[in-house]
Amino acid sequence: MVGVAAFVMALAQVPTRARRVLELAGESLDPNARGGPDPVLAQELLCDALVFAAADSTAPATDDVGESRVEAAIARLTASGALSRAAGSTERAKEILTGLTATPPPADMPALELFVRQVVDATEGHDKTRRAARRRPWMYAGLIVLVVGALGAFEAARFPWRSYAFKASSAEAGFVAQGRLSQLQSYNLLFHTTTEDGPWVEIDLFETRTVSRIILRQRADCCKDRGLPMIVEVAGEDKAWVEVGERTVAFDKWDLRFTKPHEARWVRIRSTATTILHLSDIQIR
Amino acid sequence: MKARIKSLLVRVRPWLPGWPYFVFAIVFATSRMIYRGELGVRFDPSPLFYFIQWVDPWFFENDFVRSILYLHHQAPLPNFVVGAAWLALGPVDSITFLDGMFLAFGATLGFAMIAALERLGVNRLFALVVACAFVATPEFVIYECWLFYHVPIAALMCCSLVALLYFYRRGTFRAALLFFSLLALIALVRNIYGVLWMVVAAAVLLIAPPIASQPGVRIRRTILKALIVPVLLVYANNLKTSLLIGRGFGDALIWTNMVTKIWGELPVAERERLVEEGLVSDAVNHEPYSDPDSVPLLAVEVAETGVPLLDVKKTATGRSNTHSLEHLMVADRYYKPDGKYLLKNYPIAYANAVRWAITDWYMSSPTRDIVLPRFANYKRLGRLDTKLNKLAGLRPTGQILAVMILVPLALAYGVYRLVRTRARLASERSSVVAIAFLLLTILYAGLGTTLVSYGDFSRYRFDVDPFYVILLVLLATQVARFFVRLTKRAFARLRRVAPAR
Repeated sequence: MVGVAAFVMALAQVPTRARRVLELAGESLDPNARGGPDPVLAQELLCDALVFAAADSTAPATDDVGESRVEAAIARLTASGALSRAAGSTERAKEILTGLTATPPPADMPALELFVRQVVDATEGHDKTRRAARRRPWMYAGLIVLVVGALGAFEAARFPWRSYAFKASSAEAGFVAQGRLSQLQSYNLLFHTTTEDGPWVEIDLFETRTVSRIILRQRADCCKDRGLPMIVEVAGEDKAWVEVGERTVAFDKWDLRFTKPHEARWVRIRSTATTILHLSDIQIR
Repeated sequence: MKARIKSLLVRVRPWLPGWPYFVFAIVFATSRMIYRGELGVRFDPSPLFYFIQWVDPWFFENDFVRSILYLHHQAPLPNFVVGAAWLALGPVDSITFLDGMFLAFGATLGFAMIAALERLGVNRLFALVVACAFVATPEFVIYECWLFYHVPIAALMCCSLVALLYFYRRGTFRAALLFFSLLALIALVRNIYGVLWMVVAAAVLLIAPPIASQPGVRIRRTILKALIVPVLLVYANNLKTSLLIGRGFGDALIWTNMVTKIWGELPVAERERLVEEGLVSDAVNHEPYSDPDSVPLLAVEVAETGVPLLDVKKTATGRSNTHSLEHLMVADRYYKPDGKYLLKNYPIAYANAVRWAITDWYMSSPTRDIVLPRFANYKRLGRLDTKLNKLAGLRPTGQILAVMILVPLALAYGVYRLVRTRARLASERSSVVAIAFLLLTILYAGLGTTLVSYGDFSRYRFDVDPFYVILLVLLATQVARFFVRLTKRAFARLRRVAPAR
């Protein structure tokens, strides 16, 4: 609403003479202008814009006789502080303004146009353009956050199981027993139990979900027979386990597809032998 | 000798302003002579006889006007033009006419691209080189010789950009009307572009309007006035489908596409279960627009309407009529509820299909198409096309590395041009609006196809490929100018440090 109100206000605002001339200068710099861009004309018009901006400023006119009207305008704008407000310092402003009298006009005339616009803003008592320039890094940061956030949300939607939590029966030295299915530990493993009787890992889906497929990947570099015989179970809120798959032979990838999907809150993978249990990936779809 | 050259230059001077166009015309003609003469490329009208986008010529000959009027899933203009040519010139000469028309569209695209780039501040020579390179690629030639709407759309897109810039130069009602009329023309050639796209484009113009041609003219009012007739024309086309057919425009296509899109992502066991349990119909196992005679399940009793296009299931040539009401009813009875069910219950599968569309197929060459490899022109130019694609980093999956880098780069640069501080300057007004139009159209075309369709995404991208090229050329120009300024500054500093002796 505020934006709309500001837009309507901007429409209703009567432009000052300096701003009108600035518009004309911009038009003559536009590559799309009739007859192509005219930097010399733009230079003249930017000088005029400065003169009109000085006339609008609150500083008194200088009495120096003999100086050109542009120099007089610059002196008056310097006195009013508009130049230093627009450029950061009077020296920097004067350095930029050398472009106004340069022959031929500088290649980057839009930079000069931008500066004169900031001066006109300053004489009108606001600094919209400078504020926009200050906002720019934030805008870029916001855009990056938006894109990264959107990609993150998209990834989360694509791989919801990556946020599920697991808890293993034990942890080998250097490993932790609890975590998320997105976090890999040493040897690219999700978890690594010690040698024990019937090691297990339990995955919490946080709420009852429809599970139609479970994919398990074994450690890639070695030890593919560990954890066998392996059993996969699912359970609802009551933790009444139902076996949905058993494996007795070593595997790289075990893809369990259920013709009839299960409603499950928990998934458990366990071994019935005295062994080590480790997996590099668990996908619950 | 010197005097002779001088006098020659004086005589030639009036022609010099248009030299890039002249050179482009020569390059275009030469390239076409090589492609057609040496490489044997010919205009291929065969899609007319079996693509769902075209009405069978039998209908042109027997019920032309009503056949165009009752089209319900394709935009009317291409069929109208082809049908009119068919009736006026006969089967042989109409194909020659279409060949010439497609060549003209190819040339127009190049001319418009040069004009647009020049108006956006790009060096004329650079603009010329880019336009020549773009239209001389085998991929462009394959499309130019294919009776399909892509080259006309790409050419009209470039023309609409030139018209937009013309409007920002003149600020007149006529210029605005020209721009919106071109948008309407595009919408009547290709059905994904429509009222929404035109209205959003108008909104962009309303936010940053040009300076009026005369004092006292309200430019925003001019824009709205110019929008009315073209937008109503496009809306009327949609409305007539609802009134005459009783269904919305494109209803038959949306849900068949949606079902195919999601179905491909589901595991086989899951698909079997869904059909066995009757959660979706068996229609999902058949290609959309399958011949109802060969798939009895897809046969639906439809009352005769008296309009051959809607009633005839097979033409005299034996071709299945995909514009018949029966196909619409099949989509309505089976694919629509199935599509809604799948979309509701398998949003992740849908998201995966969209992700794949954007990151995989969209990032490929437009020649990566389901049916294109069957065509003679592709067989003639396919090897050359593949060689060029390999140079650009063709992957085994079909994606092209250069496209994967340049597409996001072009979009990011476009956004940068819209949000940078200089975007507020009067000198940037027309460039900013033009870039906003480019981005809007790219996003609209990209989302409109990847969200709904189930394949050929790089072919759909072909329509807006000139816009990607324009954005990249603007980026290259800006980078080049930056380095030129940097070098000049460094030399100036050096001169100051070591004054001339």
